[in-house]
Amino acid sequence: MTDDRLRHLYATYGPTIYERCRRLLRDDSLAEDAAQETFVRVARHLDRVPDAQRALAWIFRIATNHCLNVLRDRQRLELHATPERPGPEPEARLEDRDLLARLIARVPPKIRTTAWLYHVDGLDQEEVAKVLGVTRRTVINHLARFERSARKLAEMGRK
Amino acid sequence: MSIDPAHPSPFALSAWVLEALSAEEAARVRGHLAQCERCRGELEAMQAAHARFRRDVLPRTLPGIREHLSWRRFWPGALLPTLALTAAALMMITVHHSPSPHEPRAKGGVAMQVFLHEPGGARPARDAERATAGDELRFVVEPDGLPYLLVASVDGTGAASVYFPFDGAQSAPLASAPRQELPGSVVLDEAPGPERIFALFSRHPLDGAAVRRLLLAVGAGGAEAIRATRSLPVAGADAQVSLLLEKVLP
Repeated sequence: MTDDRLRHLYATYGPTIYERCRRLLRDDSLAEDAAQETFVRVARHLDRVPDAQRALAWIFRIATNHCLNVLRDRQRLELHATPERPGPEPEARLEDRDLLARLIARVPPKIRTTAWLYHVDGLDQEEVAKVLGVTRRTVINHLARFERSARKLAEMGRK
Repeated sequence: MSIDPAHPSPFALSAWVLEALSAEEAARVRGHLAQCERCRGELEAMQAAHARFRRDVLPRTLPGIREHLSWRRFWPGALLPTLALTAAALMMITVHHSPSPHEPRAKGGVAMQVFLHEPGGARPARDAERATAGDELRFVVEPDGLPYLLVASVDGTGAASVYFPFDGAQSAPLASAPRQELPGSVVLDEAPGPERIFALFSRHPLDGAAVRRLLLAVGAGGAEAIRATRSLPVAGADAQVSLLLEKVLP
């Protein structure tokens, strides 16, 4: 990859990556580090793929996974799992926001990312599938597993 | 992408800013923004973050990005805070391959060891092992006296990459040590499926373009060809080894 090409890709996609990381981490310094990490991971792929929508899906996936790991490592995951916006399909979102925050911190990484994209970011199932590179059926299955965990956790809380 | 007329998601808004929506989807988002103060606020916040990146973050971080993506220097761990090399986890597994059938040698075999770095530590890669897009690779080689090396790969999308020397036009000279770690590292990209990495050892530099052509020919045969092709017919390669990784998405 030439320097010019690298600069072009960073200038084109860097803002989106940075904004995504900043939205998740709510810390400028952490977001800068996370944005660089994400860009390094996707740079060669961005160089080969002309489709901006596909590139955006990959950016969202890598950035979300990385930032959720950062939050988990810093034990800040529960503080940030409060949805900011209703997004599409609001009637399907978990209503108990405290439960949502505790759950997202506890489920496996793949389920966590799906749940975050859907319940916190407000992406619809089709968008989640596009970002994760999976079928909508897989998204539905992940969400079902997440909701089963929610019920179990809620039952434990009542005992 | 479905654009809900009520509230576009952050993904949809980002796509709109990147002009990555279809004309119809873009028109729906535009129409919604004209009527929704809340989403206009979201968009303005997004654009303000973009402007800050272009003004402050890009100029400061681009040199580091450029350096990290080259082979010339090992990138310090500060920029990759989630990757930690644990000495206890360093196990050396060697992939030995017989000397290149196209250029037989009288001496013993060369070797290449590949380490996969994941959050939490490093582990050795075995042939046909699963690896995750985003994993970082480092290489240790035993050139058995051969002074030049080219490391290159072909992946499931059919793309060819030269890893050492990074994007190099020809093989690079090695130090004289019998066992050495190559400088820098490689981050596996998002292309899922097989990726076969070839280490081509030689007495004289090999032409990078010729190697790329051979790799592209292998890649054109699809995933099964990549899995089945364990050596390349490279004129001038005195010995070679290869390692197959099966990449999955995180």
